[in-house]
Amino acid sequence: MISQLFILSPRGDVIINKQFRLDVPVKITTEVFFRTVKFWKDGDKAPAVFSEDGVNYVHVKVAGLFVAATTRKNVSPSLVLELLHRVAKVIKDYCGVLSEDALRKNSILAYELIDEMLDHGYAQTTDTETLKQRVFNEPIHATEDVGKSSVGGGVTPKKYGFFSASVGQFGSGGAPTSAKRSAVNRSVIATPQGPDESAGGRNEIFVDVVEKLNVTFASDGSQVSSEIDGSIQVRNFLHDRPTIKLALNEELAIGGRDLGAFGGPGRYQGYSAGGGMAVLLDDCNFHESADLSQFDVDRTISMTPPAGEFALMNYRVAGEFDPPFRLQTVIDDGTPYRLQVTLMLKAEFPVRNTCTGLQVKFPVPRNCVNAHPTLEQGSVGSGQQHAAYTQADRAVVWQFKKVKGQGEHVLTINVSFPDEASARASKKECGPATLSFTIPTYNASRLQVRYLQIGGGPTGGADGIAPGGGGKDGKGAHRWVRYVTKSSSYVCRV
Amino acid sequence: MSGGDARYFTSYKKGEIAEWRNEINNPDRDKKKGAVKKVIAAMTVGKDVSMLFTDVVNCMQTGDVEMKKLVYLYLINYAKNQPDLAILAVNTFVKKDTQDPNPLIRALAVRTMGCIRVDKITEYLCDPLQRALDEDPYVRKTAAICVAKLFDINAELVRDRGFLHQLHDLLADSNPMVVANAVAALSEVQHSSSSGIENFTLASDTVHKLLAALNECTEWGQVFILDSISSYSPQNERQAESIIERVTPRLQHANCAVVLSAAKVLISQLEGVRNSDAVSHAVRKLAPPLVTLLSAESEIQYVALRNINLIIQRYPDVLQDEIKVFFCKYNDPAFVKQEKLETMVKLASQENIEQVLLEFKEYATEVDVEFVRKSVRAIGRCAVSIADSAERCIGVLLELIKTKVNYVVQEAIVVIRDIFRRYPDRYEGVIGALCDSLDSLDEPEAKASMVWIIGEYADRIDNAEDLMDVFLETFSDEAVDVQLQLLTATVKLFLKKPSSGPQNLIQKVLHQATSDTDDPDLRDRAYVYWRLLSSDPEAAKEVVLASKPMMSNDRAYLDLEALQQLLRQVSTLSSVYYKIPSAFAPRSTNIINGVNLDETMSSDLADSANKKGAENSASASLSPTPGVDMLADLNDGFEAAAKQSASANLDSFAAFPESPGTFLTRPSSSQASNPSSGAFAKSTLPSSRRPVLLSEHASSGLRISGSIVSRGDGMPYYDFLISNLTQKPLTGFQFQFNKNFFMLAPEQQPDDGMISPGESKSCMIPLSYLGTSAGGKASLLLQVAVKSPLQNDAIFYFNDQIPLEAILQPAAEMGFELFTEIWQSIRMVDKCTKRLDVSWPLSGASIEGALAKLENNKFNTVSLKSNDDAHVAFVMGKIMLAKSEEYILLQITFAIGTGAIDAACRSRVEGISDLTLLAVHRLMS
Repeated sequence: MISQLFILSPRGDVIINKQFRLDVPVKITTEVFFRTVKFWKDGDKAPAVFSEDGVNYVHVKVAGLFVAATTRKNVSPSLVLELLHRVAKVIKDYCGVLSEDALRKNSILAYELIDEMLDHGYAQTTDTETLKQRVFNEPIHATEDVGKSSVGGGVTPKKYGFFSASVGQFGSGGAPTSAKRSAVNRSVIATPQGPDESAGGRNEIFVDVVEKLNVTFASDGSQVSSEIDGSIQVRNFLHDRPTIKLALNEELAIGGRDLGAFGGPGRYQGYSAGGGMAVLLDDCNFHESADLSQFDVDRTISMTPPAGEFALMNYRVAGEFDPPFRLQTVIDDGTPYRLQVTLMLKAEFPVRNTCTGLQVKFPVPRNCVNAHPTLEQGSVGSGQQHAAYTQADRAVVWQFKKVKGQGEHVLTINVSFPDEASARASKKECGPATLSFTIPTYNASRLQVRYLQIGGGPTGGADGIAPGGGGKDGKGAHRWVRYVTKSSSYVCRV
Repeated sequence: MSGGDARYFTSYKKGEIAEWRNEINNPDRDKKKGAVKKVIAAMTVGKDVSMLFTDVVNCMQTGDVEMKKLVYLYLINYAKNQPDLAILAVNTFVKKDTQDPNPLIRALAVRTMGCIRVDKITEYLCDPLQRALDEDPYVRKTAAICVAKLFDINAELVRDRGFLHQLHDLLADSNPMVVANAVAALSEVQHSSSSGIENFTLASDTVHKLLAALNECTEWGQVFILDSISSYSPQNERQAESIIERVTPRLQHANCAVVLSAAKVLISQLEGVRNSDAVSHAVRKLAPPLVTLLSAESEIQYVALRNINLIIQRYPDVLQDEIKVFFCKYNDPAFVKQEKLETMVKLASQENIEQVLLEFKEYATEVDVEFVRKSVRAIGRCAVSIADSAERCIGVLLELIKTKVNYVVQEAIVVIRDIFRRYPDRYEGVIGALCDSLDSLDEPEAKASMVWIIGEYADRIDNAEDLMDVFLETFSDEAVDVQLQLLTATVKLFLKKPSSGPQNLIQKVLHQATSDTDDPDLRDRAYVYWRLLSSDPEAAKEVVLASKPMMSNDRAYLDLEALQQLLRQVSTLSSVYYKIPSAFAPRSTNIINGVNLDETMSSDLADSANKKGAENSASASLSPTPGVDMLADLNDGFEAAAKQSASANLDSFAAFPESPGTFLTRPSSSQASNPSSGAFAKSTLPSSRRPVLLSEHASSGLRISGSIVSRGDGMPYYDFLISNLTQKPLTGFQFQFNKNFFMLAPEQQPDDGMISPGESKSCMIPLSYLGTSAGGKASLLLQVAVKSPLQNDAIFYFNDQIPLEAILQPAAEMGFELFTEIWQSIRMVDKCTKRLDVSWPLSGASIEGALAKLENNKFNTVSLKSNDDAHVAFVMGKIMLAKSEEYILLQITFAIGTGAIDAACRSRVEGISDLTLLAVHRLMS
């Protein structure tokens, strides 16, 4: 199993270095690792697993920090990777945020946690709840700006907690506002017992249905590939460890298992006998504490959720679905020295939803002299849209503050060239356009949380919770169920 | 703790140590704890606070768990450097803490004592460990791991105290966490055991217990259990199916490690299932979870894709309909994109080729140059492997050439050369289009490819002569690869169009290649052509224009045997590197003092940063040691050889060079020219029947396979097959053995027969027992050095295991009385018992068969006694040791009822019993 676990700052400083076995030179490996990653060939990102001088290095990057392990054994790399993510997550659960500062302040706590999570390099317990009984050091709050240092910050969103970065965007959905932001970044340890609702002590649970879309459109608008990576993320700050029961759509089919009832795989062909639209997932998996005994009967999941953040369920839809955006591109090469590109954007989602922070990036040919974007009439100066060409990227970026459902927008780009021939030849070098966006209170798969019940009681009943809404049960526990759809890779070819 | 730990990290002055010492000895609890925290904070940032050892360790005498944990943290860190001080602490934690009423403290003590690697105190650990193995589950699971720790420090002690049996018992524990840790500890013991006697083979009832524990376990425990089950060989098809059925639900787990380990079990158990419906059913279940792994973090995606690329070579259908999910996303990291490309090439078929080509074409316009090149190559690989799609692929490549993007054009030309080789005389219509881009070629490989194409189709390209003329103008500036191609292509041109123009060209190029170059390959090749052309132009035609061997499909680049080996390694590092474990993770790791290792490594540090992957370091250290006096070099050499085996690299491309004659016209084949993707490229495993002892990569082209056999007269022979993969004849080999336990030495050296390039010869070398004894415990290890005079007197080293049966003496009859007398003799000090798992069912006939097999290998049956439910065989063997004969006695009990075979072995030679039982097991199964 693993011989050593270490955490490095983005600059390669050793923050945590824990040795489990003597078969690797722990003082050297951190440096070898950092150099190797830093100077990986051709400036590429180093793969997660590599070997150097007979030592195997496995690493992940979380919140800008390198969390890495070394071993000389033929271990399961997926186990080590999962474990490293989990170590980072537990430390984050404890410290509230994961950052260099927080780690340095809490290094003794981190060592104690690692000692409980791994023995002789073997993973033991990574469940925050169980760890609480065995870990005695208390977290010390980092003073750093939480917005900047939270796990979700930075360019690469990670599974565990990328949500926290986008929490602020939920204002329009009637979901928690700034008060919640700090609530989300708090330590699981800080939860006091009892109904005290002072800062950091609220008795509440967040259930977020997060869907990331991977769609590629061909130039004719058909979908080359389309996939939803969904996840039900829970952040649990409930007091007294109650059991919860979560119900999903009754008309939910899972590929392979009940294919027969709903026709071909990967498509929403199935209309169930009840007439409702069926949701078909190609595959899904669950958190280990989920009790699925009723799942096949009425699509309910019971569990005693561990404290802190975890993915209750991950699912995948590979079939075609109604995409939230379509982008049509027309390139006119009728004028010499020039290409006129027209981008027509259509928001296909319901009118009640609003997309925040849409950005369309459209690369233009390398040899162009300039590209000049023109916004549609009426939108100039409204502050809602903005488009600009950046020489360095060779791309036009078209940004929206908000896009209403069913809205249509047009952008015209005039691309000029040094000579006539290159204009025509370069036509093929336009595009593809990539879209990045977040649509709160909307989910592409139509997977719904019908109800969320806390404790054994009948409260929080079948009336359900509106998307993006919150509610309070009889015992004073707050429940928040939110939906969000984000782009992961949303590409429209030209 | 208002100020946080941060204040412990403030500057560190000389007076501080004294100050901390004062605070630690302060009776106030909080002050004490605060001070210890400061000390530990200083320790974690690498400051030396060892002078406070006694003060800190004194704080251990407290009921405060937090305090105790802090002290233990300190203790572990310093115990290995300050063993003498550590012993002082032993009293407290062995005598008191391991008997504390609080299980948390007991577990803490057990966990910590295993981390204190001080030989002197391990003895003290045994009693507390014994106690801990049957206590509270939390303590028990910690103790299970502690056995593995102790084994690492002192294996003998663990065996003597019977801890391994206790671990086996824990497999049936009621607490699944304990079961999981026991499995983990047993697997580790098995892997690190140098003698290999701790063979942790699962019995079928154990497998059932493990499967039962599986559902209750933590996710990590599930991985340990699944990994151990994956190496279990099922007794019959029904059992394999039932294991598959029990494990399949694990594929739904959110933890990717569980999913991959479950997939590994499925794949390994499927080998035992012949019912094709059951196989396809199980394989179908495998597909969705594998695809779901691609939704995980990119690091895990990478691991998943490497595994998927293995699995689909064995089960091509499993993901056939899922090709779309492997399309690259624009924001995938480079290492994921490259793996996805590989998967797409492997999954491409007649049905989806249109879609796939559209994708590749799209990728070829991206900005990442390396990725673009790989995409263009991918198009060529599809063309080569799917015959019906070749035309479409060429079409796409021509479109790409028209973009005039320099690196795309060059890559496309290289790829088209491969397509021409694969489908000769079918697509020469596109040559015209290729010739339009001649000016833009500046990379040697693309240039060489273009020249090859011109030479190959010289009779159909009207202006071939002019084109060659232009290329030849810059002959002396070209890279060697291009020069070689130019030379060959000019000869082809001349042979196909023997007119005056080409004749001038050929004279020019032959002259340049023989007189103006330093490259021996180029010069030699030019001379060969020259002589061929001047002596017999017809023969030259036959050689140079000979039809070329078919280009193989490189989609399935692993041969079946290698693939099977790697599939057994799914979900391990091995499956990510595509190397078998012994190539990068030696079975028994030497425990080297951390400090020394640090030093040796830091000297390498400077250049190691420039190295990528293991290849460089391996190839650097693999250069042969030129030796004047062979024996003097022996010891150094063995050390070097031991190091090499740690980093030895199995990478290899084409297995054999083609026979002379064809190599002249052979353009670098596509396999050889493919840049290895990532640091870890293809691996090919030896496929000859005799095990390969010395790989040609370690010895610049000399391959030796073989094993020690017995010829019946009691004298062993080394049966070698020596292959010469160099370019020159080899002869005059000399073999030497290092000191070995059985004192084997070569009695003769091989005769002086010449082995020509590409040829293999076998030879038998008789061995004697006149060598030098290595002493110590019995060991079958044999270290061999071979000197090859024609390779600059290079000496190569390899290790082999002596098969025990090869060195057994033919034994005279022995009576049962004598057997029992010797058996009970007090001098039979070396004893070992073991349960032997065999795949065959026990019956009178099968037992006799097994004993006959032993008899053939000189294990004679003294007596066979039977009652209703068991047969007991008394078996003896004889070995030669330091010119005296030693008996090995065996008592093998075949329990018909339970199907179990228990064997006990006794001997006077220390260590031989373990080895005997291993050999008997191997011979019987």
